[in-house]
Amino acid sequence: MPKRILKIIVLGNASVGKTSLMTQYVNRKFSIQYKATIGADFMSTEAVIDDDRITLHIWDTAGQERFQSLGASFYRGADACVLVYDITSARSLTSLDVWRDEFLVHTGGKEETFPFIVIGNKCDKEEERTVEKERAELWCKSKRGKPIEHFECSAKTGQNVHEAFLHVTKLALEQDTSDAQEVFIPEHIDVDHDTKPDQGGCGC
Amino acid sequence: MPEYDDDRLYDQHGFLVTIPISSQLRARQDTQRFKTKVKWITYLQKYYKSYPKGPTELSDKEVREFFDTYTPNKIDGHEMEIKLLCREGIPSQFRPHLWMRMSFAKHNMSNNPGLYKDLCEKSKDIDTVSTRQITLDISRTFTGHRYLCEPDTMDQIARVLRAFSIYNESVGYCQSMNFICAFLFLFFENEEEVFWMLNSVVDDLLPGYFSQVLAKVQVDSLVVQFFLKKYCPKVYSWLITNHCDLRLFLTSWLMCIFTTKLPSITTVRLWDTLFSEGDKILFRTSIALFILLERRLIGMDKKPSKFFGKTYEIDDGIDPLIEWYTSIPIEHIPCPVETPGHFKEVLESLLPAMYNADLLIDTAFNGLGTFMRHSINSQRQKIGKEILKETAEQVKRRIERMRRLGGDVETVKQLEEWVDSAETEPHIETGKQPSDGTCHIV
Repeated sequence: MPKRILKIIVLGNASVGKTSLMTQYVNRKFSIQYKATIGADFMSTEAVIDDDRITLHIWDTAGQERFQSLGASFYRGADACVLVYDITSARSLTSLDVWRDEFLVHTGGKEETFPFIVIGNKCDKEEERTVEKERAELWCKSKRGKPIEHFECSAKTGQNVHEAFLHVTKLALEQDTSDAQEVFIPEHIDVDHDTKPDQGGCGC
Repeated sequence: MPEYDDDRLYDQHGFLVTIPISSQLRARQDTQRFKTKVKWITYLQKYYKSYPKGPTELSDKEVREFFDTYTPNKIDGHEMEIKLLCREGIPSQFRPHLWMRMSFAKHNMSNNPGLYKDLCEKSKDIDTVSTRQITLDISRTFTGHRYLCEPDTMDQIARVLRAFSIYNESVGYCQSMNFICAFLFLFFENEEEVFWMLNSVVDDLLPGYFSQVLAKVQVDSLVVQFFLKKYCPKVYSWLITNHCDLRLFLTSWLMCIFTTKLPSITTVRLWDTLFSEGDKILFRTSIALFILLERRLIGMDKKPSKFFGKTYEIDDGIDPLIEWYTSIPIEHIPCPVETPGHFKEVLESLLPAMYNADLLIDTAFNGLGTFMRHSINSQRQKIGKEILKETAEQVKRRIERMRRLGGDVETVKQLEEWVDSAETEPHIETGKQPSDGTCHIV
């Protein structure tokens, strides 16, 4: 059985909490000391789904609009996409259209079937809320294909973060993408590799 | 500038240390720094009569007076000497003065008296896309830094960035400028000087890196990739085989000029060379980093790429790998890497341990040998054509969207102009070279 690696991209406006969500999911930690992400950052973790171990490669991206120019190189080979807005910023919800459209253009993914989920982050800041849950759900239903699953999360408290990432992982697994072949690597890694003579090739 | 005495946790510039530096390396660097300072003093005494003779240490005030009273005057024939001295490192006492003069900052500041003050006044209460982003980023710059996170300093950084956003409207504010601006505050107390230094970086040395459309940084990343084919073929073929391109890593290296990846004592040495030699050093440095990390990335059992007769073998006495990575046991590093993600993970876990600035600079400059500016530029234009074509499509969609949603009219106009020039005469701008003529050594 080959080992499966899934590539998940996290998108959304600057400061909605993409890095915090990813770190909360991977390390179960929250810090107020994040740096603004420039370009893209990466973390990997494992998820167990129906007894199968899945390696997740989560790519976190810069949120300022001009960084969308870099999309082509960052989104390549993505299996799923997490769209993040901040429940205290209405603008960050409306921007999801842009992030989603650009993502689809760059990856050539089909609008109706490509696995997306939407996360409304910072739900611990209820008193500052400007985006009602219903409004975000309406946005999720307004897209072609099945309604996009919506999660209100808090990267700070950890609320719902695991559920959301688990769900997107399942969606990505269900999706029988044609380039799935590309992300398979042999499960059995040759532990003696280091001691064997150079077998030629590029050594990868 | 506060003194940092607690060196268990913070480095000499006030950054939190995640990987400790080896004491042997530190001792060697101290000795080296002293020798380099003597060379600088000898240089200044030789060419500048007003520099006091004798071996006495000058106070910071005396140093400032020396630089301030000296009438800028271009000296021919000493560029090479200065270049080599900058590669050895500028003594910290001279650093801000020399950066101001080698870059175009001093020149621009003298030609625009009072401008910074006006800009601060004008930008004080404005609310724009740029200023909103600055406010979001200011507390997410060098988090955990001993000095840069103080409220007063954060206000200063914000003020410079806000002023700059109305001074250079086509750039406005681009994420990553926050890191550059904050880093400058470690060496300058005067906000106005930081403003003009930032302007030098953004406008003179790295034009196009921070614009509304991020095309140039992509091009430069791919130019580095192109040169890896020659200088570091094993890493190059790994990248090709794994459908991985360097934009994934280099965007942040280049846009933040290494400040977020390398230890500050190494970064500052690279900045010394940036202000004396221009953007070319970004290529040299990036390539050198891959050369030095090659075995960690593609496998320790593999012989490193042949590299101008210089191979950094373990038995060389100074093993860069062991010396740098004292606290990262090799078994903790997945090697050889298997995916672009792992490549990034390994690469970036090693960069904060890269304390040996002398080795990095030796590899980047002496190791790579002559590195022609025109070959960088011709590659830039070649790769630029493709990237500009690709980016223009994306920008057209952005314009269309902004029109539909009522986006900022000025930005739309700028973007249209950008598309127009990208389509009619695709061209990637080249940074000014500090030795181009307008700059004065002292």
